Amino acid sequence: MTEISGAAVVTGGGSGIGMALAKQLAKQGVAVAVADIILDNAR
Amino acid sequence: MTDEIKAAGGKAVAIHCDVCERDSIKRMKAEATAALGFIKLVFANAGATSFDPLMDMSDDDVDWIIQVNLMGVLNTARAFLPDMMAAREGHIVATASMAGLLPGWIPVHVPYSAAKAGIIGAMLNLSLEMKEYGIRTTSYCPGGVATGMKANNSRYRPSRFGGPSEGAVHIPKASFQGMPPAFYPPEAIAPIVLRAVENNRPFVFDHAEQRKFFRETYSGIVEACYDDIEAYEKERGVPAGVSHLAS
Repeated sequence: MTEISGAAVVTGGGSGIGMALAKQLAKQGVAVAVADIILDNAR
Repeated sequence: MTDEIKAAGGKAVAIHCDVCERDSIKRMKAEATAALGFIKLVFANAGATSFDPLMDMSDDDVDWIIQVNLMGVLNTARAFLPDMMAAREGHIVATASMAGLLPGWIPVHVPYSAAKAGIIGAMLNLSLEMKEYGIRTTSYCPGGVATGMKANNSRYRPSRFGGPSEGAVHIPKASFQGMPPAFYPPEAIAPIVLRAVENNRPFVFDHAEQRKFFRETYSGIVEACYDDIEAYEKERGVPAGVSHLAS
């Protein structure tokens, strides 16, 4: 069992699946580093 | 993205990262850790697609697809693993693809299938190596998710592989034999992925009906080839001249 907690990083987090994962993690209380090759998409 | 999370009361930080470059990954890792502390969950998700016939691709095309998908995941894992090993916990989730699990399913997808199959191999093998540290791995294999990749893919291309450009990815008819899968919205699959991570599953799938393609294009073929060698051994015995690994 991996508890969805603490901090996470999502590469390619600025769009698509990465963005959805980052949002869902945040919704579940995880602090998220959103990394993307297009920084504006990550912001 | 992070603005939206912060507005909703969450904690988030936006960081530039080109996963094709080790130095960029290392900088991103340092920044993420400085901002948020120990990173327990790593989603090595960045990637790019390609639906070009192999011999129509330039060397740069091929190198980019392997570098961003396979080396990007491997180098991301290598950047975050030391902290996880020290903490003796962590979970690495790589976004692979059904094209990686079933490289015999979707045609005109050679470097992409190879890279995504490589991710699955790396994650499964890494989980063996990291067992003693309590670190888990999961390969997520999307089987049809509306990611915007088709439209945005060429924008993610770093300059050393030819640089970004505009224009959608052309998907040949042959690739889905006229039967593209249902594409689900990314928000709908995110909870599926996190639930599998919680349950320490080595894989996450998102289209139950694709099991038949696993049987038709992979497991059925593998089983038939095992039948071949089993029949051969029955008929002629195991190959002569057995040796064993020196211990």
